[in-house]
Amino acid sequence: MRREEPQVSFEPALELTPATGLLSQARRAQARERFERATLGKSEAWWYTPLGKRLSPQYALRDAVAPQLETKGAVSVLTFAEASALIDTPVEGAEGARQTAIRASELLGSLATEEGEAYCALNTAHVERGLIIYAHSTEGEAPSVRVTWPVTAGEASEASSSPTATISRTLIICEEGARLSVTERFVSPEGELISSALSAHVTELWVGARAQLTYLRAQTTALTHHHVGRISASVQERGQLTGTLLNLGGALSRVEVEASLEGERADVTLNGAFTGSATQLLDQHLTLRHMSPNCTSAQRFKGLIGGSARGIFTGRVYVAEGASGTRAEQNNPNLILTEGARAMTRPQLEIYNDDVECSHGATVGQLDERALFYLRSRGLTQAVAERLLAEAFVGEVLSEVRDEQVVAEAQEAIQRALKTLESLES
Amino acid sequence: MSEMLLEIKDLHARVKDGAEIIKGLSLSIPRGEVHAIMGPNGSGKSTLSYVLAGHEGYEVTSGSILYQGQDLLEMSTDERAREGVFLAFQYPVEIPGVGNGYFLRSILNARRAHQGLDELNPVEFMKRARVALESVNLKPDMLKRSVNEGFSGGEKKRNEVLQMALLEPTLCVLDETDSGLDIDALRVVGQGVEALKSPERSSLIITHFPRLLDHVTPHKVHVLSDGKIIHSGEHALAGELEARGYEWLINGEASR
Repeated sequence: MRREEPQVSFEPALELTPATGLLSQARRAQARERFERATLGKSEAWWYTPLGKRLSPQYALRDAVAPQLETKGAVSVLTFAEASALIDTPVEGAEGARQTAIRASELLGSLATEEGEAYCALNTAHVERGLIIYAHSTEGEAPSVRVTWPVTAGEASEASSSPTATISRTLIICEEGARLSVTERFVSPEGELISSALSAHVTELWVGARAQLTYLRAQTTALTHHHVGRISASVQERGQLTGTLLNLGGALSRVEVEASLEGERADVTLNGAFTGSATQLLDQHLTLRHMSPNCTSAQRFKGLIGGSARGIFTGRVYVAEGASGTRAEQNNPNLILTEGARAMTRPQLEIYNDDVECSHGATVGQLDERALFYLRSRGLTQAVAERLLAEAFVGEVLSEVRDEQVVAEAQEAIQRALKTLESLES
Repeated sequence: MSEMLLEIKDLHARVKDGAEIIKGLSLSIPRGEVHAIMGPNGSGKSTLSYVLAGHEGYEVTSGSILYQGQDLLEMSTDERAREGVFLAFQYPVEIPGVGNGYFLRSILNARRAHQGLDELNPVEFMKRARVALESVNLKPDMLKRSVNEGFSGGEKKRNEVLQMALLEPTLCVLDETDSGLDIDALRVVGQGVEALKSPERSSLIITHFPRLLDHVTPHKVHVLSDGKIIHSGEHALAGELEARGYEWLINGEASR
């Protein structure tokens, strides 16, 4: 059974940059060709997310706005432009940065490959704005980087009436034994409420042997925005990736994770929360690949869905033939606040090995009436009682988030979802 | 002082869209008194406690309830609570993820705001909570756990009495309708009510279990059968019920 997907096309407003050290002209051209042959969103993996129906048939590509950066500790951050320049023309006194750039050029595009989803090809073909975050130090407190990507509609173009699409990318390298904490926020500039723009971001994560990477991703764009994000991760021997993915804003937002546990005893923990109101469609699509023995992974994604929003969770765990001693857990509880809200959950296990422990659980439920009555019988109003229960539900994920602004944004999103409940009751 | 704190008149109630369970119940509790309602299973005890708390699953079809002269049935569950009606649950609900300390402070502040008092900040709250915790023999680490989650039966009861001690309700309704109650938990509830006796406050203990009244001395004991009060007496009636059961009263009612 295959649905006909309308084709979404992109008119490049920019000339491709000349050959650079980071991504060669040939590589870009190849990616572009691959994208043109593919249809965005046309595969079984997109079944619940009719991209073609939601997106505009045509977008005008615009350069992404430069992200805001806050860094702490021993970590290097280079833009793609800086890295390309360093590779092409060595600068005296910048050997360290050049080494980072060369290392980045080796990894860029090797984790999120064009053979994967079509929009990885789109990204490689057209990305202009990108960041490289590099940590190799093992001493002292873990360095941290906070990146805020403003997903603006960009400047209106006279030549085109199509909505704009911005394409950006991050490559995070946490070298052997290093520790690093990265936060990526995707936000709409204040006041920019009406925009049917699309932002497509790819984040590649390299977690070296015994390295520890903590990654927080918060998507809180305006409710008219469309966002497609992909995280491609590779975790080496005894490396640890702890990710928290908050998918809160946007009219449509799909966050895709493809994580490979490449080395023995690698560990991936992914927690997530998605809160929907109005007609939001929030899609989390995860694939975890256990490629080596004795790796552990845990996924816990909580959906709080109100209005006539859709929450989608697909969690696929692949265990390769030699990956004995695998332990994989997956959990996706959903709270449905209104009659029109929907949660779709699909666990998928693909195991080629006997010696594995895999568990998965998914629930779709409503606010506990008994708990609501208990709270109200103590004098709390219906609205306060509902907020307490909804915050407690998402709290399991939020309690691990140290970024106060992100926590506040998440609470706002919870309120937004709950408001749909109140308006129905009144 | 003979001011009536609670006046129930010819109350008829049912489970929403179900059969009638309370069939003409009348009961008055003067301010400052503790009354007990006892009765066999199925006599309507649980329904009465839910109706008093305003549970939406129950419907009052006729009759009235006046609380401090106000129409209780016009108030929502949470309004009743803020006005000083407290229902101690037989099986307090576990609420994972909501911290007990935060919960207690929220409910106390909701009540205080209603009384026109300032909210307590966490430090002021802790001062009060410590005293209340001690009075019910609970450790302060109970505040860090989720509301009732993983609490033993006795701890849950203590947590109910703790809320009662903090909120200082005007009317306490204790739902102890289940016969399968543990003795320790029973003692906690009984002693809690006894300790809260005051000229300003009334309590209504709804129970199947006469032994609860070993720990608290009610001013009056009422017998509920088939949705009506069929007999009222002094504290000694509890002992008589323990010795003789309910049959003699119910049969007496039937043959009347």
